[in-house]
Amino acid sequence: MKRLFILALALLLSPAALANLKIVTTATDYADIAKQIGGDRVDVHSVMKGPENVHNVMAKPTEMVQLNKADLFVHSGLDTEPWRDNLLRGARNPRVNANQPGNVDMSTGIELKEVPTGRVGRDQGDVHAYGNPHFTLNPQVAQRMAVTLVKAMAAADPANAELFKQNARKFVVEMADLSKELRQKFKPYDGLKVVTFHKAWEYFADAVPIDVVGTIEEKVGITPSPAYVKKIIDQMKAQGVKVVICETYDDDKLARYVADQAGAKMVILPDHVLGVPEARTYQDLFRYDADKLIETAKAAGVTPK
Amino acid sequence: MRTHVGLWAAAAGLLFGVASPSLAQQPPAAPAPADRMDQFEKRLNDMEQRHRAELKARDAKIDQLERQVKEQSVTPVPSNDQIEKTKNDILRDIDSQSAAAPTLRVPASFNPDLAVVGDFRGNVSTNNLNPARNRFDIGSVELDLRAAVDPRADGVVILPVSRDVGDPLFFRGKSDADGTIDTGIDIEEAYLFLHDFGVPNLTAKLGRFHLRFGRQNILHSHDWPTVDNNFVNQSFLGPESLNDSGLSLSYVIPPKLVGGQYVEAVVEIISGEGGGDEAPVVNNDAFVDGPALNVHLLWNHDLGKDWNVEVGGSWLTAKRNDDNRQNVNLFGGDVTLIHTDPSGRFNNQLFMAEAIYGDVDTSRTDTQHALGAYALAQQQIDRDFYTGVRLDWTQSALDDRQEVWGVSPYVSWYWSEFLRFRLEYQHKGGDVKDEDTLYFQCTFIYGAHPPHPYWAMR
Repeated sequence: MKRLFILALALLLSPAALANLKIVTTATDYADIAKQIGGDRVDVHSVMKGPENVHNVMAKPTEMVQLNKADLFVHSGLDTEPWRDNLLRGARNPRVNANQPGNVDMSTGIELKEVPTGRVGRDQGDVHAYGNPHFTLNPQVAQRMAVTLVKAMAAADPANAELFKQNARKFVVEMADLSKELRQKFKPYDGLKVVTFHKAWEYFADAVPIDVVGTIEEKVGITPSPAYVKKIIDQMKAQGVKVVICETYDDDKLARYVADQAGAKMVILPDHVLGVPEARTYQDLFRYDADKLIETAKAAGVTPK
Repeated sequence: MRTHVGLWAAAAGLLFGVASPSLAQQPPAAPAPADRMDQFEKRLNDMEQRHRAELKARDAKIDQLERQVKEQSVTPVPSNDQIEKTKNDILRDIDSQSAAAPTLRVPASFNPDLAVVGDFRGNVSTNNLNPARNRFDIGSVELDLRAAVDPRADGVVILPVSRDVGDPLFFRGKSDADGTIDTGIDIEEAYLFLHDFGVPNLTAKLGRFHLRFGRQNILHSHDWPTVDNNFVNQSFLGPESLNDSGLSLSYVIPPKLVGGQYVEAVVEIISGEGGGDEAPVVNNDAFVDGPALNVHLLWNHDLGKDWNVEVGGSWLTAKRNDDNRQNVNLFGGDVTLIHTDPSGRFNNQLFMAEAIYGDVDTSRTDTQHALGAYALAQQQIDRDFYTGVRLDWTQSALDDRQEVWGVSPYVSWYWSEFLRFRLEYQHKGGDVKDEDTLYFQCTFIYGAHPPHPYWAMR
């Protein structure tokens, strides 16, 4: 009885020992990886909800409340979340401030594409000074993100470290299998020429063999001029591009117009987990995008190989 | 063609090979010519067969390579071996004790983030007597400098250089007109922001800053949703905003004590100088010994997945005049409602409303009890366009018998994130000279990416 009493008292006095690891992420992709690694030992909250442009997310005070309680704050580490500092300042949680162990930069160890090598200026549009930030759209990159995240999770919750590592290993294996599956699935449409609205699909093209021949945005984040729209339509006609990809948060009317004028088909694809309800997990996101691309290519009359 | 060339080469080689030794030495006994021809023919046949076999093998190899090239991806997707290698590398890395290898990024700089905000304004009005409403000029150029001072504190300095012409809210006639262009540099904000000094959930500002009174007063003019300031803030706080120097403490009540809600309490102890001559009610000079106190309480809550509401209350108490006997008490309430498009696109709405009630001593015996309010609704039309309308009504904080009202529809066009054009029409009436004004505004920002305020919707 005495032992039981002591045990109960110890449990009452140390709620932290029982509490789940609390993780707040900027994007839904990091949240899904955290859930897959942490299972029922973590409480995960994403500030971004899925379909919206991560650049324009509102870091509301209700999100600050979530971050106030967090053990880990997981983000891109790049300039794609201009609201991140406001969120951090408003959260008043020193555990997750920059350079603290609770502040997890998911771009660690990832080689970015399109890193500017010369002068960077706003004449290049909403240019990203560190390089193209859409690195989450590749299962092999997700493997590296899993390593970054599992190390931070294991450090923050050593009691569950082994479980986290085990789940991370499973995730890595699943991502490798997914890479092979995507490659195989897309084989008949290998090299499918596409035009995208935004430069968001460059990493995706390393996993699913599409050939991105151009973007509707001439400069990143800037609505294109009519002259440029005509140019991209002509380019599509000349190169036989039959598919236009529009992100869930971009101007689908303009994307549809471009596709119609060029004799192509437009498809709205999510580039983040929960960008559409069907993309519930990281794996679902890629399968959904690959399936929709194939479906669109078929509808556009692209002959499979 | 390849076969013919090969045969000729083989024949030439054979002839050369046969002829050469015959020149070098004499054979001991020459075979009969018929046998020699047979041998020669046999060797030729052997060579031709060997050569045909070689060519066949080569053609097969070329066909195989051509097939491989056709099968190869246009884009360099990794092979199965590469995928396996990456997987094994990653699996090893999970168990390794070493930290992830650092990634080289662009070099860091210790210079502050520097942004320049230009605000060009032009307007025409039916009231030709009001010079402020019939001119084009660069309203202000603002220099925004901010950086971390140390791990626990940030520094913020905002210096506007402006060219203003006074535009009284209660403009009645020529006697209210002042066409003087007031050019100067000001310290709009300059403060140290302590975000982590050991007390959980408490932050502090020390220096000069916008008072946390209501919702719009904390905004810089280029961040307003409309070209001009709302009437109630102009009447009670100042033409642009009420700024002052002192200490601002902000405390977020631990969410677990308030049911997981965001509740923030702000207490500001300020000099009470206010905005100087321009501020209508808090305009003490520097010699007064009575500081002012401003208190702001706000609650922010998500109403479902797509709606967010913020409700705030403010109280400002200060001395009004340099004899230290006239008092000001302002009470404010504000509501902001935001709807975000669940599809991630452009069907976003913003609703804001604020009201202020003031007890303002205008002499040792007179106190004005004035009230005012505004409401604003904004709808995003597409990726780049927003439209909205603001409705104003307020009494004069210094004369509660006077009132003014206005209707101000507007359209904002974001050419890009850093360049915005805006058109606003305003009809103003009440105890003032009726006027219709058309405003044009061009706002541009260059330099470091300024932080996005959460409710600004661009």
